[in-house]
Amino acid sequence: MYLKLNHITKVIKGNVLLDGVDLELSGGRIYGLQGKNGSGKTLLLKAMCGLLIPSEGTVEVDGVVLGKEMDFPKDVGVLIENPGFIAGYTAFKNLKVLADIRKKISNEEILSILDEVGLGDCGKKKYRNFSLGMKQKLGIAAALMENPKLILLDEPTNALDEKSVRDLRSILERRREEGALIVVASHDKEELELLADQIFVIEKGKIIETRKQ
Amino acid sequence: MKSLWKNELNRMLGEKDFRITMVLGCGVAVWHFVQHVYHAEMFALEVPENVYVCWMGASAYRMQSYWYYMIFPLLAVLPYVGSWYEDYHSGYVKSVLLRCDRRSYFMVKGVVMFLSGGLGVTVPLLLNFLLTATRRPLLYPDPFIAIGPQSYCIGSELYYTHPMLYTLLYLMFDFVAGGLIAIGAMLLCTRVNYKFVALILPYGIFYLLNCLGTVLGTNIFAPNFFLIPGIGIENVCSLVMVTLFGALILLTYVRRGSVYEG
Repeated sequence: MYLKLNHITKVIKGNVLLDGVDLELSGGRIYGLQGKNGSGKTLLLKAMCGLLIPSEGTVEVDGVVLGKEMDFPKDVGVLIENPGFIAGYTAFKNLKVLADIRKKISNEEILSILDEVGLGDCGKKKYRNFSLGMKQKLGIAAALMENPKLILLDEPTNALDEKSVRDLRSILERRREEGALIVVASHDKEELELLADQIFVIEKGKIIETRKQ
Repeated sequence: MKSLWKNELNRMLGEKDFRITMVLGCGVAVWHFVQHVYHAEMFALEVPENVYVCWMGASAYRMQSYWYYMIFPLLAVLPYVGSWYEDYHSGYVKSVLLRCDRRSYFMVKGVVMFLSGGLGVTVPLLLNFLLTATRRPLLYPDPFIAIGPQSYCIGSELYYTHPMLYTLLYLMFDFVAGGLIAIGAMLLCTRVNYKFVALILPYGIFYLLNCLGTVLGTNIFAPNFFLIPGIGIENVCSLVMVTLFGALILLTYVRRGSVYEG
């Protein structure tokens, strides 16, 4: 798995939100995107998964250009901004509805990912009654459940307690060992330093610094 | 793709809003039947009544008919537009979209939304027609009584020669109108910050057009009249208006769907 961003630029109403970003990322590594609020982290993640159509530049995933040959990468798991689910469904049913689209995983695998993120005991509780942390965990589970080769997570530790953050870290490390390409965006420098192999610092839509861990 | 259809159809039919709309619409339909058909003397008039002049779509003279067509846009948007609003604003759309592609997702969503609007407005009408048909004969409508489209209305000849076909075609016309209103409200959801605004705005437009019709003394611009089979379409302008409205909505929908950015 590799991801290549060629001079990605996004201009909305005259404002340059992403300014010629060039990146080459490969599988089996965790990358950190560090930046202040409004620096362009989320937009860059959206561009990586095809949700954002760049004004200039291209995104290539394994040699396939997004927006031309396909809209979105075939094997991607994404958590961007607040995870949204159907309020009247349980955690399992929400994941089941999403998993049914690709039909790549069984019910047992859904239950297993729910266990892994710490939602194994939420049973018949409906999403509308979830706490913020539980909602975030469900968002993480949705992003990881189909064992994607490309994982994009935006502020994944938001609303999580310390134990859940540690659990998430170990899940991501396991996925890295399995060869997944993981990009984690966060404003939290320390968190990224604990997790990422390489960190890109983004400011005003530009990569201004690259640090290897 | 198949599972996308299945998910969306299941969601639409399982929505509480869909069931509430059906209860509301069918409630009006049954009320009309009970008051004007079941409890009415069939041979009280000199000319025997028939199903085409008795059912809810026969005219706007009866209270239930008038109000049914006044709440027509609400019946179109209530079943499923609210859930789209929540999906769109909560970010759920992105989760589904990333598992398929823009074209498939927006096509499935659009068709199911169209169906929800169409079903919301036509199921009660169909129910009322069937209920009325259990108590009134399927005779040809009499051109000499006051109920029914005027001779200058589009398709009036068909009404008097093949009334069943006319009624079915008109129900399809209403179905399409309901579906287009639902898709229109779906587009509004992406522009407004309150769900009720998206749900109530089509009704507001409908009401304004009704007022315009009253001021101008014509039904040409008043959909709550020209959507009634028994009144008919007086002027081709009404059809042109619906066609232009439909084309604008569909083109906007396709355009927005193809460039949707989460």
